[in-house]
Amino acid sequence: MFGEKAVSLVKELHRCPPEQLHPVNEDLMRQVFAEMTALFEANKSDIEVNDDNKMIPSIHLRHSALEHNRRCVLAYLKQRLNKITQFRWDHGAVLPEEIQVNMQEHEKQWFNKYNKSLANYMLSLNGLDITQNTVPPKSLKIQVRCLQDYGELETDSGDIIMLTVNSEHYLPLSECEHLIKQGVLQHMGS
Amino acid sequence: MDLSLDDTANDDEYEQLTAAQVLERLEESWVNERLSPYLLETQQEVVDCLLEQCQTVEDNFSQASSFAVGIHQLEIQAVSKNSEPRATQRIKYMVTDYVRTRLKKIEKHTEYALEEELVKDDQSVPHLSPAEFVYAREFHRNTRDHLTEMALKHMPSAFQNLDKQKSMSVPNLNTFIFFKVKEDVNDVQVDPRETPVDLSKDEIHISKYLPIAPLLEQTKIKLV
Repeated sequence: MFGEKAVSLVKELHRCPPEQLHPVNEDLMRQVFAEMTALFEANKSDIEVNDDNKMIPSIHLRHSALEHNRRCVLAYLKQRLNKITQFRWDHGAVLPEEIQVNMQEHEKQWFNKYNKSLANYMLSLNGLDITQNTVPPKSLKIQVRCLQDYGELETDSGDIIMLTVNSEHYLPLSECEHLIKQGVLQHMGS
Repeated sequence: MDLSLDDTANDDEYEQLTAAQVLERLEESWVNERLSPYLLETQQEVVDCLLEQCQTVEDNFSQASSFAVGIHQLEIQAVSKNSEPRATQRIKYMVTDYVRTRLKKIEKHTEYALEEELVKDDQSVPHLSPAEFVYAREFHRNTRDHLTEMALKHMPSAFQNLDKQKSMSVPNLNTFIFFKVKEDVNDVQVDPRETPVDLSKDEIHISKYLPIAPLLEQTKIKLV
């Protein structure tokens, strides 16, 4: 039936857990495009051959199927971008390897441009990093445990702290928020 | 600080606000922005002003007690409660969450936002700040290029162009919101089929967003 492949594209995305990104199903996308081309050609020949109104219903049907297919494909791609956007806010400008491998070449380009726009915007706010400060601050400093050997961290006050596995620190939230997101540090007592 | 929101229509162009008032204004705008279905007027001046203050307070933290110097035209007697870094953290959170909420809305309704901005004449106040406008335009172009490259280009020729009106994500301006009246307003036409209502101060109402949006812009009401 028309449009079934396009729907399965959308379904596939729906099944993908929110913190993951599956590779683009280019094969299925190609099949949808092929279906669209076939439908379009069929419509074209119907219009050319018949000048009475007999074929209008079938042309309408195919036209709806075409629009339906386009809508599904675009929704599929746009939703992927939305996900990538979310990853940008969660993980910072450099995405984890496991996400990057599943990004399509164009998506990577899109991501780079998105990064640039976002950086430009933040520059207009005197370089305020708006991807930080995502939770209302309850206290100035928080207790964190280090989950991996990260090396040295220089705080805003100029002190240098060694982050080694299982070491515990009492740090200003603003300075370790991005490390918590990256999974280097763990907020204790939360 | 120059807080004249509308240079052409407003006679009292220069408003002087204390730090506490600026903060209050941001707080209100922030709550409004979080609760409204679509972007409100930009409060860029407030954001800039507060960021500048946070920066100054952080820089001066060691000598916080002597922080009574005016920044721009601000009178900073109320700054004492801001002069600890914890307070600046809170302000920063509010500021970032405010701009973040706006950016998310822009990303969601990019085309709509750009259209809205284009149909506005010079007299009316823009909803987007210049930086937000650039962001929206870039985001829109970037996404459109991506979709063209990935999909539209492979489709039959008649399907390569998107009908703006159909593909645009339009915010639901008819959604219901709660609001509190800040000052008395008479004869508000909430529904064209009903008689206008009078709103008096401190009342709380529920209404569709669209009819009361102008009142919100005039800060006669606030969302709760």
